[in-house]
Amino acid sequence: MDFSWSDAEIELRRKLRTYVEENLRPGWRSIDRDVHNDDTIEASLQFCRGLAERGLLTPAWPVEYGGKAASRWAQIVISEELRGAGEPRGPQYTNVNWIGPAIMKLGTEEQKAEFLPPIAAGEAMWCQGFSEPDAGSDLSALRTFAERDGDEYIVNGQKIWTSYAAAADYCFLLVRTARSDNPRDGISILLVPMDTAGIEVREIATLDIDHMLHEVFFHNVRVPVRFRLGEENQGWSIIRTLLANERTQSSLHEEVNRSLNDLVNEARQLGIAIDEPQSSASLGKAASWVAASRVLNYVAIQALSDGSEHYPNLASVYKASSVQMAGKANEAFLAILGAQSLATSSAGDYRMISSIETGIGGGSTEMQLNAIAWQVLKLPKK
Amino acid sequence: MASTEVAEEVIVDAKLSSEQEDLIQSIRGALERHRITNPYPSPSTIDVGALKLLDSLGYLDIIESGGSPVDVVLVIEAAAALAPGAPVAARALVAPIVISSAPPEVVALGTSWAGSLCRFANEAEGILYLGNDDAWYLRGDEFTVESIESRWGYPVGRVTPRDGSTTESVEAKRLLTAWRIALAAEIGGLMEAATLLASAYVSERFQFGRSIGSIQTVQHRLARSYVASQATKWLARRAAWDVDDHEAAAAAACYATSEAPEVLASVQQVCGAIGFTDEFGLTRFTARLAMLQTELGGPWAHARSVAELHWPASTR
Repeated sequence: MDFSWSDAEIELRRKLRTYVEENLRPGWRSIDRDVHNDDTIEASLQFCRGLAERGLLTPAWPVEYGGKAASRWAQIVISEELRGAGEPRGPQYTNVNWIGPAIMKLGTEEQKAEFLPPIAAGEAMWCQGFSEPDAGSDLSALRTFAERDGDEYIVNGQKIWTSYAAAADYCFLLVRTARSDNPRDGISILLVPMDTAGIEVREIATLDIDHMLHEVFFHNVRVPVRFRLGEENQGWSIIRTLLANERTQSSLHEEVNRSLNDLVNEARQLGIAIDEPQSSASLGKAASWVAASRVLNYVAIQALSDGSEHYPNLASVYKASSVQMAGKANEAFLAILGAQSLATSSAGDYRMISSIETGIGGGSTEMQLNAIAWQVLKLPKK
Repeated sequence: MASTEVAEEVIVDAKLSSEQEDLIQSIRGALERHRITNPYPSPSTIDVGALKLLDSLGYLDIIESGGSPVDVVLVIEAAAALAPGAPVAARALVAPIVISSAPPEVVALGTSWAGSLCRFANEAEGILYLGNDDAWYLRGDEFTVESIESRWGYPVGRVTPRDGSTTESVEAKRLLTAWRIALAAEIGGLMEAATLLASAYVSERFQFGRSIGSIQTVQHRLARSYVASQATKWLARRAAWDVDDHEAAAAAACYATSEAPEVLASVQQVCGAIGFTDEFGLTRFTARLAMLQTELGGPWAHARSVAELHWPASTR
């Protein structure tokens, strides 16, 4: 067991911090990760292009796909540093961490040539077309149907709660390509350019945050069969791995960790003493939950790197802990800053959003607890 | 534009080694065999037999033999599950980190703080004693003990250093940190054992024509307990990996003592009345969680330490 970072990883961290200092758009906040408007979209693209030019966007990718074959931990260093800086990659953290690797693993040569270079260059934004009105936690109940028509699929249906859809160039889309008694059979993955005719994106008004969530409608959308990722009807097992990767590689703990520094700074500016017992205890508790979430994250990442069969369960344990961490941080903001933490300009504003969102996005807390109960504790399903 | 060099050398290794996995299996096997002929002693009494067994097998002298504090944390976790009445942590982890002389078989940890009780004080041949800013190693004739009755897992007492006795000073910060690591490791082992026992029970308990372990409310309470146990264990292991990282130890103790009552409440609740009985065995773990949650001032004291270490007064 060793929790040391190598000299190279420490140097990578230093370079990333320098890059952030010099290139992060002034005033960028974590909430801007959702790229609400043209300004944040352009800022995010510009930031990622610069990362790519310096070899800092996809270092853990194989050389042949624009990477440097560095360790997965290098990619975690990047995730921590950039998530800690408000994730100025916007949606592109999803590209480099799991969408790109999924295409590398399962894609055809043509798909790799089509989709990977824009990701490695920091020029492509992706969204994930997963949830539907009647398929949320029960994702396998999805009904968006892709009917084969020669060399194309004709897609009809609706996705919902889709982040980044208004800005995205592509959609990693789950569709049903066959009807089966087992809902997990008959699911396929399509890689869909968002400018394809018949795709309609509608914003869902959410807590006065522009373009946080969307509905995406598919009206007779024609997608070439060559854009199907993996075998037809075999998408479910791919998705389970992909969702586990989504849970572990976003480094939320570092965002929360740094937000606690923002809390201390904000309290100081407001003349609020943080060494008062309740304040320091709530801060210390939040920091302890960050430490817990971080170490569980590293354990899960190690399992992923080692190809361990325990990885999905460890990812669930991590995700469940990170939800609690988000809650503890929010409690600290509210305890110390009071209502001031809910001002839009306050760092606490996003902590409140995060404390709600973290337990829902990327697989609800309840789904993680189900997985732990069934897979680890072997509790009966019926 | 010049490309930046990136990490090629990998050091982070967030898992146990195969030797450490073997260590866990060895100690578990030894204690399970011991239990066949040596039932658990009465609640709130010291488990001398298990302690002597571990001593005879060298598990209490791992650090003296060149092993790592992480190895000892694994011993503490396993002992918490199978020999929770044996004072392993103070003897095997804290004493070797804090004092240079060979520790006696039974070591206790005490403080001068108001309201605190010392586990195994009556049985101890030496006590590592923490004051507000100082700490000492009290040998057998250098302290008195007032026994206090408690049903919560451990024999406890109130320790008073004898006036004028010669005592050996030890580094208070080092004692506090080692103690916190030991505390978290013990709590982590107890949490996991309690969660697994409760999980086995609810899987076999039928009500309303179904296993109560299939009810989501029950499942989720136990799953949350499992998450707490794993976080606690890994925080303790991470802290033991660098015993000079005082914040890591404080965070481990903060998390452990904060979550201990949550796990206690959950496992007792899902097991119902049987969970209270001595014969079922759940209170072997939960009674001790109840006591340990208070140690070293409890979660709020640990939390304040984390804050003070993370945001020192000069930076506030």
